[in-house]
Amino acid sequence: MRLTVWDPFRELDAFNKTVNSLFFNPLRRTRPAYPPVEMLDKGDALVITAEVPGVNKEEVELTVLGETLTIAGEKKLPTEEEVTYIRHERPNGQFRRLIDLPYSVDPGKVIASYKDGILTITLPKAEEAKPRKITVGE
Amino acid sequence: MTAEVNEEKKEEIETIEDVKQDLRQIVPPVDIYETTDEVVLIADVPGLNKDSVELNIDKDELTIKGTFPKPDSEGEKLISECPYGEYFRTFVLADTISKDKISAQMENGVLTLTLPKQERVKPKKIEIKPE
Repeated sequence: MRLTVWDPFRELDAFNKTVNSLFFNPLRRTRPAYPPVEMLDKGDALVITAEVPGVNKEEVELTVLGETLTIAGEKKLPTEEEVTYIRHERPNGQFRRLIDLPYSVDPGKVIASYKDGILTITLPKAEEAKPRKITVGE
Repeated sequence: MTAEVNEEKKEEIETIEDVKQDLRQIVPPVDIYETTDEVVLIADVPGLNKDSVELNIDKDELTIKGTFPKPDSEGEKLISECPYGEYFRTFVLADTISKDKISAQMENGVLTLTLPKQERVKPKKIEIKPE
């Protein structure tokens, strides 16, 4: 089995991005953090999605401590047998990522779900982090 | 330190915004390994399920396609590292593969393709007759 000769136009976008990142982001880590995430602030809650394909949901460990969320787990090799790899591009091994949250969340109300390799975590804003109206007394 | 990291992230988001496109091509990473009987191809396609992944075999070309579901974007985006877009990757199958016996499986955003080898290329044990 061999790979196709790539149509250069298809790759232009990715290539462009790589070149751009070299110029505009010299401090960029050479190896991006795993897993890649999306974080959305909904005002009253944070929604974080992480791409962790091929990981069993029982093996994902999520912890909230203060204003940090930790996603940890292990991505196993596709087979335990000794095989000859022709291509080995998928990441494997243990991972741990710490994500700084913009405000404190209520650890008791965090909901996490896993579907099609995507982990979705909803972290509601802690009561003390919500803005409070203060009426000025006489 | 935190401020620095945030600054870096912001910059990253901006560069992504700059090259904004309706659909981005995502080349899924693959593992391919060979055993004596088959070739196994494993691709990471998070966000796809067995109904949204498209597999095509045209002559000796195998194509994996699929559209990453458009994420919910209501709210302020603080980190954006998972581009949505279209998965696309093509492989040329060796002529030693029995194309009609290829099977596929999808689980947890991982596509596993089993490509059995043709009988003629499988190693055969030759027994030595006793004298």
